[in-house]
Amino acid sequence: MKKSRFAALAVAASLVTMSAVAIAPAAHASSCDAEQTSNGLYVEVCKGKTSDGANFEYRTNTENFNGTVYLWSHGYRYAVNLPAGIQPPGGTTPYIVDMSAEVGPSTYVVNQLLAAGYAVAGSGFDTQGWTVGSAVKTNVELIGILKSELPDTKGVIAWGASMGGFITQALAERFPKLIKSAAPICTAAGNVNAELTYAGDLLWGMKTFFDPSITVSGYADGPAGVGQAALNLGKVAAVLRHIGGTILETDTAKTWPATSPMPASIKAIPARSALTLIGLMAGVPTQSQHFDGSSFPGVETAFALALAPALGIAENAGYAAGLGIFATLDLERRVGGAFYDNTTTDYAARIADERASFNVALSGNSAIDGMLSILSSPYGKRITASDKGLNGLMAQVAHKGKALVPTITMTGTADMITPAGNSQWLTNKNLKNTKKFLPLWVVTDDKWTRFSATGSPDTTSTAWPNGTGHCQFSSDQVLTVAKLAASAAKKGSVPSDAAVEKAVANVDGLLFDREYSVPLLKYYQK
Amino acid sequence: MIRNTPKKRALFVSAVIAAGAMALSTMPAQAASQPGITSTEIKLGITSPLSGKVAAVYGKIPGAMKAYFSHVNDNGGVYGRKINLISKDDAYVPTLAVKATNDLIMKDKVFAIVGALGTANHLAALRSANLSGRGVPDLFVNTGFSGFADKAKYKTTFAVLPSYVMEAKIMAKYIDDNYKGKKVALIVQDDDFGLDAVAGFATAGLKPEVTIKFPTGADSLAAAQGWITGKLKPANIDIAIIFATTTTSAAVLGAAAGLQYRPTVGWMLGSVGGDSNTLRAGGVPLAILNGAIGTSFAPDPSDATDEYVNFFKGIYAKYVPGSTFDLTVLQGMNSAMLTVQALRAAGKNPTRDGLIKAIETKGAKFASAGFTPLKYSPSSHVGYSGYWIGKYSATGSLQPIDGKRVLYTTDSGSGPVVSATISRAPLPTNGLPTNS
Repeated sequence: MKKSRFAALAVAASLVTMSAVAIAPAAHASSCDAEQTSNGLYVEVCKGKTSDGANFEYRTNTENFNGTVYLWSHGYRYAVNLPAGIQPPGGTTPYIVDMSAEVGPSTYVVNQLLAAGYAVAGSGFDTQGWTVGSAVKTNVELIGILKSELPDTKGVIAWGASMGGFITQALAERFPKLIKSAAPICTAAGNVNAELTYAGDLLWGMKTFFDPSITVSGYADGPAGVGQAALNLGKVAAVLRHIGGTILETDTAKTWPATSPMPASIKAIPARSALTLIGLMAGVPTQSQHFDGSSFPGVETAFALALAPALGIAENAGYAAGLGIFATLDLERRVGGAFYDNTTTDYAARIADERASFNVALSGNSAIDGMLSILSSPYGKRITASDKGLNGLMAQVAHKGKALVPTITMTGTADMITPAGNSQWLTNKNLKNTKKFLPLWVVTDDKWTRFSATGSPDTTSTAWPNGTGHCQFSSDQVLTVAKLAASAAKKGSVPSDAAVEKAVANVDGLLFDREYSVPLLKYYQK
Repeated sequence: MIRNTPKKRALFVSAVIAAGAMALSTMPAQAASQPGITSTEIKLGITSPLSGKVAAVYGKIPGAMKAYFSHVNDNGGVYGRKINLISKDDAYVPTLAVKATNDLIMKDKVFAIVGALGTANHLAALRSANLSGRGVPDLFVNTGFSGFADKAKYKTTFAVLPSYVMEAKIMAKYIDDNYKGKKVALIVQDDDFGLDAVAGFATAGLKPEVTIKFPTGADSLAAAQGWITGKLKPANIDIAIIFATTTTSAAVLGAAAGLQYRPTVGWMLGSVGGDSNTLRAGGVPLAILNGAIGTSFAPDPSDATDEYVNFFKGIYAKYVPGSTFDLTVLQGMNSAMLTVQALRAAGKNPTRDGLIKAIETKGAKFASAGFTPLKYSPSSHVGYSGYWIGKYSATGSLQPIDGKRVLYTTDSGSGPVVSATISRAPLPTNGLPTNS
């Protein structure tokens, strides 16, 4: 089956804007129009504003509305305008804060749900950035509007991607009676500090090894902070480009960027090994859009063992850094101070499980120990949070984790923005809650790295192989989740394991196995 | 539209139950819903490098195990069930080992994993495929990394090879007994394999004059020439220990041949890198191997006086004609024989838990080609516990020194190295275990 992939709006680096929707002028009331969808349906499209000013929209197939509404929560969007010439990876330039309502993960999926008799709804939230608390309130109000304006509404299924998954889980925990089932996909989970520690550790590692001028936290106020963040992303990109471009260099010192402060003893180790170490200690996936970590040209496995992990991390790190930089900027402003803190982080423990598996990529135990020693030397100066920042962060909405309504997660195992360890956290909270919780995984394929005739990796493909990228699911995968969520909404519990196995059997890349597990986010491993 | 149409199936279900009852009365006993077990088959899985640089050496293991299983299957199987070994390629790359192991468990639904190969590979697989948490038996791993016998961490994993710590301690003991005061160099991989070795030598009190640690893969001929000319020669080394894979042994010995270099006493090879057939295939001239000291827990594959060797050799020639019988093949077939005994010990209705308990309670008595005792018990998943020391002959076979096979046993901790006597059970009749 032809795949129609979508990219959920999530974080800075992977931002892909969906089609804009006109804003209705009236507050608390919808203005509605008929619209023909690309699959030939005539649907009613209603738009309005919630009391907090958030744009909302809902779409109904008036001919066969079955009484169930899918309420979508979109992912992270930049909270600040960015001027022309400053373009975070995946973003647009100039970027204007996007306040449009979003009713589903893709037009195709939305139209399929409408064709099946469901209604779809969603808002743009009242602010952008990490806006979970107000987004939950907006969603609650929107549910009320839906029930008022669509009196045939019998039930609401909450779903969302990335930060939208976090919002969905928060909604399900706080207002379980308002929804019948929930589907947080490619979700962040637990508390936001876990997600930002992931990105912060990556940035701190890059700052320590490659460029001391990289900012990890403590952004300036106002436009200066925005410029600082954009410049910061440029520095990270420059480091990654340098290492990627010199990865085959035999003189290891030349693989280090000129900005690196490392002593000669460390520069005797290939810079790719330091990047691999940083990626592993932060928890960046080693599999990426173009690098499967398994393939090698001919019979020479050295590519897979020594180079591919660094190349995969380099591809993913740009996106993860985007998250770290712009979400940190946003949240520091929200909470009133710097919150990243690694004063007690034990980075050796962080990689204890991986140093054997990635030993070749890390250039052996002596190199690993040498690099780790840097992290506890004056070169690796730790960062302390401000009390205000840390307290403010801890006051953000957090999950308890237990599924109170039937909940279905779907997660790419090599997601570089919201790593799969987020969903594992939820899964671990619900190991015995099998009637209410169903974890699905989009696992990576066997191999997808391509090589040229001369053995060089080919990175020209724009496709996202199963399990890679952020929220890069096929329509089949997303619709399977939607159908299972609908079934769960009817039954009051997730479908039986046998039914789920049948449902996922022919969906490429989708795995259901209750005993399958991935490593938790490093933050949760402590 | 998403809709489930209920169907009345009562009559159909009744018919199925009746037919099933009739069929059951004619079938062998069957364990209740055990993955990989049917009335006619036991499905096992193995990951090993079938492609890539080391495929020519380690890729022979699945074929060797299948050869022995074929012999058992052709003689009635295990309580009537045929063993079906599903082999997956991991190319000796951890990422692929994880994928292959997950596929064996989740797609092929094997009963147990057997003979998985490679320290880094299997550590990655254990971490990501959750064998312990799933309760999947992980039998007779083909690596001597001491950590795999950590029952608290890996509840379902059973080591079989003596650990690298044991091997290093025994080598150190031999050097101390026979070459006390000589200058020793140690060439070792800079990973967990090497870490075990370094720990073992340190525990035994051996302090190498020169230690060459190299990242895995950084063992080219040119690198080996540099080690010899830059470190071994200047230090006037008496005994140079190569504790690495055959790729490294081949590089070092090949370089030594080219440079006409030999430590004053000679070379000492760890068991992993000491298979002469593989070294010969890698271009190492046998002359340089002649007189080198080596270790093994099993007989040399060319030992025509050994009943296990002769039996395995015959079976291998029958089922894998044209392929060279070497130490890797012998070890693979030996692990297959242990597997059959474990399955038999688990009974006619095997379960995963039952298989693990069977090895813990009966595994120490299993017949095998190994000369040193197996240490399986309810509190230990340690396999063989020692080595014998030999010297390579002019034809490349590892032979007991002065015609007498001296065994040493020890543990992976601080326990002493002690001499032991051979306590090997005889080969079961026609190589077919009858244990229960």
